[in-house]
Amino acid sequence: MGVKQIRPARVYKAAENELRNRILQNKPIPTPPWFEVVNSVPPSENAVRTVALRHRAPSKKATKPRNLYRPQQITYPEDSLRSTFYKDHPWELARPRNIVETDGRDAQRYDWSRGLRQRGMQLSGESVVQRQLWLMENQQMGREKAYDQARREFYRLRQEEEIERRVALEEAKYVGAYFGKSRLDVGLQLENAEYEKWKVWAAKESERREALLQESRASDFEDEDADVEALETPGAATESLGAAESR
Amino acid sequence: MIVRNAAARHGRRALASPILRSTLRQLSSESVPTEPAVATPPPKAQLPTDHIKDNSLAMSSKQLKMSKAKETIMTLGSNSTPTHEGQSWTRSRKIGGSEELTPWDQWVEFRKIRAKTKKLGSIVKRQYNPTDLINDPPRPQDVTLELLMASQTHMGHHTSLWNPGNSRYIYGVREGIHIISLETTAAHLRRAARVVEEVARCGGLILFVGTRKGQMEIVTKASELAGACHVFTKWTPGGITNRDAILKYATTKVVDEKDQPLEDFGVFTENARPLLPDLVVCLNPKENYTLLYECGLKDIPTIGVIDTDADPTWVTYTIPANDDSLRSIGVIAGVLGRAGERGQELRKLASEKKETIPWETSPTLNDFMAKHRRNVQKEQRLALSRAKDNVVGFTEEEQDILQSQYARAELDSSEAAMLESLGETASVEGLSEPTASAPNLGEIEAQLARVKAKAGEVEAELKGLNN
Amino acid sequence: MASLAGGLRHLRCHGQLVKPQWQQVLAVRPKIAPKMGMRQMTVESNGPTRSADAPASTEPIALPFVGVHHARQVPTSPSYFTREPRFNDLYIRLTQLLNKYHRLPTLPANEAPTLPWMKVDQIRQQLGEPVKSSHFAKMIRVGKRLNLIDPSLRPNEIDIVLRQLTRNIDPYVNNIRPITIDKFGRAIGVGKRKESTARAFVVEGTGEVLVNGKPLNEVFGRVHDRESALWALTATQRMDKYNVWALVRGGGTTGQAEALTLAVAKALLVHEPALKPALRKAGCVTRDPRAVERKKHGRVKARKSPAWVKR
Repeated sequence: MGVKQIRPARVYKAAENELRNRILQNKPIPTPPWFEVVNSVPPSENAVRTVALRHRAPSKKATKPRNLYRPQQITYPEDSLRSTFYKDHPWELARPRNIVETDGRDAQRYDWSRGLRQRGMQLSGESVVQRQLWLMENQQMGREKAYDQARREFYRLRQEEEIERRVALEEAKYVGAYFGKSRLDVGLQLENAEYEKWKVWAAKESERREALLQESRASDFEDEDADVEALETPGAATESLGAAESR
Repeated sequence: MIVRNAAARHGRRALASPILRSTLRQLSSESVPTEPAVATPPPKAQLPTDHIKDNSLAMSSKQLKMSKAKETIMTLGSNSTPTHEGQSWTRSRKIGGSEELTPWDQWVEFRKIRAKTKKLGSIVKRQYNPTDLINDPPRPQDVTLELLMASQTHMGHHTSLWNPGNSRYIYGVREGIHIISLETTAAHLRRAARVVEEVARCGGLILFVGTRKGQMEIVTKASELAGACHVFTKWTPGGITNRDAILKYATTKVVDEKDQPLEDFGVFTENARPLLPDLVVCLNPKENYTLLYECGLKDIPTIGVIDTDADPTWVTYTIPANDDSLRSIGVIAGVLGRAGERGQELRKLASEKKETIPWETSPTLNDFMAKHRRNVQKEQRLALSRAKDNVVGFTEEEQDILQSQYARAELDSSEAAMLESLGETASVEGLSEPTASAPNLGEIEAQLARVKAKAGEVEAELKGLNN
Repeated sequence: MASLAGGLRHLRCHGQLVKPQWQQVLAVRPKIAPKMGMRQMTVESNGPTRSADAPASTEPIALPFVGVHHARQVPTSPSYFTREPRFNDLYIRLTQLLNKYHRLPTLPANEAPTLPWMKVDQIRQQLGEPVKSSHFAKMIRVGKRLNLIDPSLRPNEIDIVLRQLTRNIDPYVNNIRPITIDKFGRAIGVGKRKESTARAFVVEGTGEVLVNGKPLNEVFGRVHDRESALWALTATQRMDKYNVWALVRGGGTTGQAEALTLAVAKALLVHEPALKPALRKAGCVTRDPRAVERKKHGRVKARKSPAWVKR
């Protein structure tokens, strides 16, 4: 298993041979239905190793010939911008994001000269990166300057979104919507429940201790001497041992 | 081996449809439970879910999740849309105090309201719906690089898992995985589509194989379109090389150029060896090595979706693409299925025109037909001689007895009729007069001569090639 | 060599027509009815068959394949290359129905109508295919989901398909038949244990016991077995009040003895139903479900692991 095969690529040759060298002269051999097609649309060559696609000149350090065949890294100018942005705003990564493409032409519809908001795309770090790139390429801005501008626009839009959401929430609450408990409420509730549990446990525990204490007091009166002996003798023994060791 | 299936690579979102508006609405605001409005089905959030809660008491949340995942039926066709479950849908209820609505009435009412309100609000024009891949797969001419990109056909495996034989298909490395060149994918896909179309046109038997989880619908749809066969469970080893034992009980039929089943082939279909596919399309070659090996032994061309970790030499025609994503596989199988559909259409068109039927009857079938005809002729001769005996053997008394017994005028065995039939068969034998069956024999002979001539031509050509 | 083999293939193929190489278990071939039935025209043949044959008798035998210029062999089912084509066709039909009707309202799982679902063996027998149990489980899951659809909204298609997945029985009709005392005063109890089966005919009497026509001490060598065979009578102190005539089959001595216990207890209960608590306490009423545990691979027996030495 897992061995290279040579027969699949030679299907046509094999069939041709069979048709040509008819072993039984009077038995007609049917031409397979794929015979013509495989001849006119032959399969691609894949036995020969080709040099990998070059996106850039190979580095001077890579002198070994095997690196000729290794695919190269694909890099885009956005990559470093993206990493900078997300390094500065790590929580942007925590926002849910739609990664499903519909027809693959989304990027063609975006026009980054208009700003960060694009139709059919949610505001995210990606918008900042694209906007910054557009600014750098079309307005000849420096990287830092473009970043600052794109960032400023981004903060403003995020703020707007935040305010919109808050207002919508208040309006909804005003007309009677109920959104369930907030996280704080849930936390408090859990804490209260735990506290109530502890109170019950504590009451039981204190009762038990009380009972124990009373018992021990009662027993103290009964055989005080025995207890004292039992307590004293092991202590004395250890003391003597300790003394022996120290000597 | 690292598990890299669709879910692991793309997350569940890759297959899930965008959230519906109604669900969003329910998520955002939950109205205070009041009396249900007239004839409006209650929102889903209010549905009692007692039976689920009962289960949860016995099981931990993890177990519950696992058992639920086990129970869900993963299909592209039915997993992407919300269902209406719960008691409020299936109980008859009083609404407005007067009439009682049965579940049927409620459902009808709901559909009416939905039809009315469907066009309200904003409309999302472009949205990805996984079911569309099944219902309306793309055609070979619809294949664009954007479509392939959106369907994640370019994503290969981790660079350490690659098969160096695939280096010609790989565009580069990105985020630790190999990216398959989309141009190559498109070119190879079109080439494979052309092969499928031509084989379907020539009446070849195509076999679609996709044995991974969730590929069943894709495979069945593609084979349905292409008029082909499918395998969506594990390939039975020996299905090709040991087919006499494995496919012993599988049934076949014999059809003519218009795909109408022909009669009198019962003996043939029972005794003929099981069929071989003429073209095999394998959507996951990594798991189907045995199948591909068997195809190689029997000289059957194969088409395979080759991910960066698969071996491209296992198949005749490679389609370098991601074989772990259902969407990618759906697009590729859909395109091939559509190509097969086109081939079938062409074949039917050709058979209607009757000039050039793109396929030939196999020699085995021709032999059988000729032999069977010869046998029947022999029988006719026998019957003839027997009939002569019988005519002589019947006395008048016997005929009277027969007549009285079979009063339903079944007495066709009178002498006159017998003699008539004798005359007919005699004429067939002698070929002296043109009767119904005589030209057939002539035709067959002509056909045989034609076949022989063709074979001679092919030989001559081959000889020419050799020289 | 390959081309040689390939060239010979057609000869082999032709040979198959005459004499199949492979073993034919179900050699059901349609017999071509003799169409020239002149000799059959006797007085013995009865009316209806004769009338059916009559027109054929005078017609000349038609030449087959009239007007057939092109013919090709194709599979009847698209699942031709699988081992379970009919099963797969059914499964595909089910999933198609689910895709079509999955939006219809569904009942909670506990309210869905109970159906006697087919078992794997039965479907194997019905379809005549080696259906895998995992594939069958998948199909039943889809069937159960379809069964959740509200019956009043369920289309007829679904019912028709589900009928193929259910056994042709009504589970509610299947009631336990109570044992009665027959006209000879016998009560017949049946008991099983391990591989053994016992039938005990219990009548009122003086304490005679015959097992397979032999006295107890001949059948069971061990005293323990003898005791346990009649434990139902001993425990209730009815040893001298009943006669037992029993038939025991299968298994070993222990199994037979304990099967007998259950059989006798059941028969005794018919005579004296009030003894049930006592017999239950004595452990005679419950069927012991324990049987030999299956052997596992990688083990010597069911649980015994092969010998293993570290060094």
